[in-house]
Amino acid sequence: MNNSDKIKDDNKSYWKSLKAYDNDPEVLKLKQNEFVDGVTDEFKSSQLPDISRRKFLALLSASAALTATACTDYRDKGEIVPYNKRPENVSPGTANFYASTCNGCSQACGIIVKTREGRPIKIDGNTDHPINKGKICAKGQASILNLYDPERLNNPTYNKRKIDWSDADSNIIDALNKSQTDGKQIAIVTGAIVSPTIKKVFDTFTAKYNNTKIYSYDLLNDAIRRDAWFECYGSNDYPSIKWNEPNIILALDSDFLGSEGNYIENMNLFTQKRETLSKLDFNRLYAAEGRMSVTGSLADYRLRIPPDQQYDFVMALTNELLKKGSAISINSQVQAKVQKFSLNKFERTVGKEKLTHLVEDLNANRGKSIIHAGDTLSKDVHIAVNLLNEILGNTQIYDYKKTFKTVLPGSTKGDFKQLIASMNNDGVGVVIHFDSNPVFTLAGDFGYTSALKKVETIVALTESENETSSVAHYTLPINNQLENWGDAYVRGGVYSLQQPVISPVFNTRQKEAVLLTWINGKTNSYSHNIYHNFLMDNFNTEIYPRKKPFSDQKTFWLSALHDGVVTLDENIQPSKEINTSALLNTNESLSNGFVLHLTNSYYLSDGKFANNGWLQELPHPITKVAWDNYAAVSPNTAKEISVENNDLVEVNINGRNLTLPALVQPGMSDKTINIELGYGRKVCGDVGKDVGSNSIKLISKDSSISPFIYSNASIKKSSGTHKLVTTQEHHSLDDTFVKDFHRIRNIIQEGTVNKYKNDSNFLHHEKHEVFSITNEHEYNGMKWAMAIDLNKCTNCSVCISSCNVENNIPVVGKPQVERGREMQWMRIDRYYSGTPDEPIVSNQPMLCQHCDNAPCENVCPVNATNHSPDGLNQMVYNRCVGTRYCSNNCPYKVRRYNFFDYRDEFADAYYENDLTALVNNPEVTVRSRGVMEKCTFCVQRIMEARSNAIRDGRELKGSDVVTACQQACPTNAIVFGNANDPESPVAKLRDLNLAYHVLEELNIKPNVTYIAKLRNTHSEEIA
Amino acid sequence: MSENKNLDRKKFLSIVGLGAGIGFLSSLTVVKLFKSKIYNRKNVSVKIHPSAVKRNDKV
Repeated sequence: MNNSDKIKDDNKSYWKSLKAYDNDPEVLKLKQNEFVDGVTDEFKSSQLPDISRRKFLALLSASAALTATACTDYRDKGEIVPYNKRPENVSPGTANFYASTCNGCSQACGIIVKTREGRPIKIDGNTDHPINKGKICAKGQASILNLYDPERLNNPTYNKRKIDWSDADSNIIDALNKSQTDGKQIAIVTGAIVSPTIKKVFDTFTAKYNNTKIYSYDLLNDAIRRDAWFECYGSNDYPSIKWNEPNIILALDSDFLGSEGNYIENMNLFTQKRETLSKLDFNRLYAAEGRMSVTGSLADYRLRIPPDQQYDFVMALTNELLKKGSAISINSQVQAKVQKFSLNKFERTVGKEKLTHLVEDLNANRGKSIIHAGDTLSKDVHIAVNLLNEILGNTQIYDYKKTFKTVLPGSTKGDFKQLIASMNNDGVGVVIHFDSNPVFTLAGDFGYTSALKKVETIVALTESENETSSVAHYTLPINNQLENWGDAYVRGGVYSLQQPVISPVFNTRQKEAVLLTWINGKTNSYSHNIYHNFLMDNFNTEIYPRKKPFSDQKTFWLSALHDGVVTLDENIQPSKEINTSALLNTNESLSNGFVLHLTNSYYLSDGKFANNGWLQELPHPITKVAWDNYAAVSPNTAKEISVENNDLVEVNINGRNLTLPALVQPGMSDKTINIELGYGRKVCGDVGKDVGSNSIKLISKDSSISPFIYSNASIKKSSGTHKLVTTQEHHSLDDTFVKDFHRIRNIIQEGTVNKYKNDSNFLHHEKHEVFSITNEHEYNGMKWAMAIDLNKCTNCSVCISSCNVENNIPVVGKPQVERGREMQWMRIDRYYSGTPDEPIVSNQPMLCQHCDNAPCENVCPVNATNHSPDGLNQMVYNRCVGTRYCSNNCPYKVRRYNFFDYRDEFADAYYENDLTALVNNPEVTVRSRGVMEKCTFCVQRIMEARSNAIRDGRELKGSDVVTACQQACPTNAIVFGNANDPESPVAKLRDLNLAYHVLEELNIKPNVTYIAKLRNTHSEEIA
Repeated sequence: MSENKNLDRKKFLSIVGLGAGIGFLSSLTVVKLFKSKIYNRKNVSVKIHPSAVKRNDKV
């Protein structure tokens, strides 16, 4: 009996289908066959492909090998050549340092240039220089890229065709002689001259070609301030300000902390009265301005006053304070003039409370306060401010020892009008542009360009092609500042020297040497050290006798080059009594509709740095816009003219117009338009060409208030939009849809001085209790940590610029910044709170926090990011496979991913060339596509310090390591060191009761501590 | 049908593939030669200035 019978006998029957139940023959057949029909049918082997398995595998491996070959980069990367015959005193792997002077602007800061194997790779401040004291600005830091700009001019040209230097010299000498014979003028058009030796070259040139006239012009200058000082005191040289002394500072459209004067020195001095470690003795800053500047963003009180009403404001303030007393006698005429003005006019826009505080503070701090007017304001405002400072007895805040000197007075607009008239009348034979670009920087209504084209011989001495060289006959390439000899005398008692740290890379010459050759009149008189000898002779004649050192001239010269600066004893007398009657010639403001305010670009200067990718990509300190300028207007004005961000607007003044994108800027005064200068270059390298809009077009030679302020402007919405890219929406920790999110999550923690004095623990009352469910790792040895004092951070971005240079950060370009892919390891987050009309601005530098419980380390699938024994969050580039999970997990959004090989990607591989590759720091890996990177706490500097300590047989100390950002910070807001050393500054700051960590409730234990900002207001509340 | 063809699909593809492989390998050599010999590289001269004075002792 089989199983199925057994099953049947048991009266149980199992069937899978109805056909099976009915014993369908088809089903029975299926049951008998193992396979379905057709599956095991016989096949014909002749129909199979005639290739054996062996052959198939051979073909497969051959094609794989070919594919692998195709994937290799077969480009010749050049030869590796051993450094057998190296120059004396150069050790591969060891840096050499040279002292020099920066030429980025007319402040002539002292610098130290770091070189490796003969090439400069980093510029930092010279600690011996008494003015900038070891710090320089963002432009100075990034200016090293200009040396390696692939579009630097290599050879002289005549009408765009290459010629030899000897031919150029010969032709130009002939032209000069001819001009002399014909009685035509020879014009040398130059920027501001701060070098006494260049002045001597000019004098020698003028002696040889006595038809020569020198025209000195800089778009961004302090000419108005000097003129006003001359009117008041009879001198063009004016004193600097001891910013570390006043208790009350009133800045009138004066961006002294951001872009005017020597702001590096200003920041350093100002923040000496913002110290939290010692006894609190804060100064109080009032900023009265129309735009939102860096200085305004740092102010304890901000007063929105349009720039064309500043005169009325100062006079009204003078009136109020004069009633309470005066340190000098004021005649009745001046009194009568002042009495016409009243602060009531400003009560509606500024608020009575703020005005009352201001008047009371200035009155209570007579002699210990300062009022400072910005460079762009009118001469009348400066005269009024000089008088007010005298009335308040604030002249003791003036620093006459560091007076701003004049080497070569700037030319007036009358001088230029004469020059242009002469050019139009064929009265000028030769125009030599001495590293200047007046075709771009001079106001268009001068008619300079059209007049220039009538001159027989136009020479442009320039580093790169620019608007002026494009119309010149002879374009002669000159050295970069790092290839030059030079000197500077900007401040009283300080004589700086400039020396070349690299021989000229191309066939360029020092511009002064070119002039000396023409003075000699013989083309073969040029030699590479002609100006070096001239400079040395001048130094031995002018400086050596004044110092009377024990050493001989040669030794003293070498020691001066070593130090980079010579301090001189100068008995500079304070200015004589003020001429109060100068005020009688001043005029009240004539406000009429919109006021246009043209201001200094923070990073491009007058357009000189337009082709510097690092500076173009550096976000604007207030708006965080990169790669563009815009017309900034207040929210109310934007509503009035119906514009939003990115809408194109047309700004018009007396027929001069400019179309550019609008940006709604909180905190601006209504009916004020602010546009930055230096953008819109047309003849420039590929990086800077057509970036932004040229606002110099709006400047007129016949401005009534000042060349930078126009009170009869109009603005209207134009058609179309232009996308402005900002970095503020990326990686932001706050949610823009939630107001004051940065305060709710305690990303920014702030207080007031009064609150802190009453309750020093106010930050800690509502702290989260943080605990861990695991055993915490103990760092018993060295533990690297950083502290950032937000009282001192001014949002200047020098730290970012320094980090870019030190760590080989690539430039990515505008389209990539739009996607949030900028590669800067450090950023400064800018938050607003309060109202759009009266915002309170908070800044916070954000970088990798090197968390002890780093959320990025746990999620890396290949362990490319891990933690070092001394507390660093490390990144192993060659392990990284680019999942970006670490960046996803980082709550601070500080990780940067190389979506492309940016050296290849940016501007058709603009920076992928042999020359620009020299700027890279050899101590830092150059990252390629597909890897994640972030701040490393300058691990290369830590390793260098560690190996030096091992070599010297000593322990490594926290103070041995200075990160690039810390070294660059002008206010020393960034402190780095060993958190386990209780005596170290960083440990003391971590223990301060103002110290906090961002997002500390997440228990990721960041090692960057922030010191909460204290605002010095009259109340305990911030606003 | 395939018996009438002098060059069937298999032979054609193998010739193409062989040709592509030879062409690719030879192009590597030509490009390399061209780049190194004919193309004018911008000669970057990096030389320390002989008169510059170092200050390694006081940075």
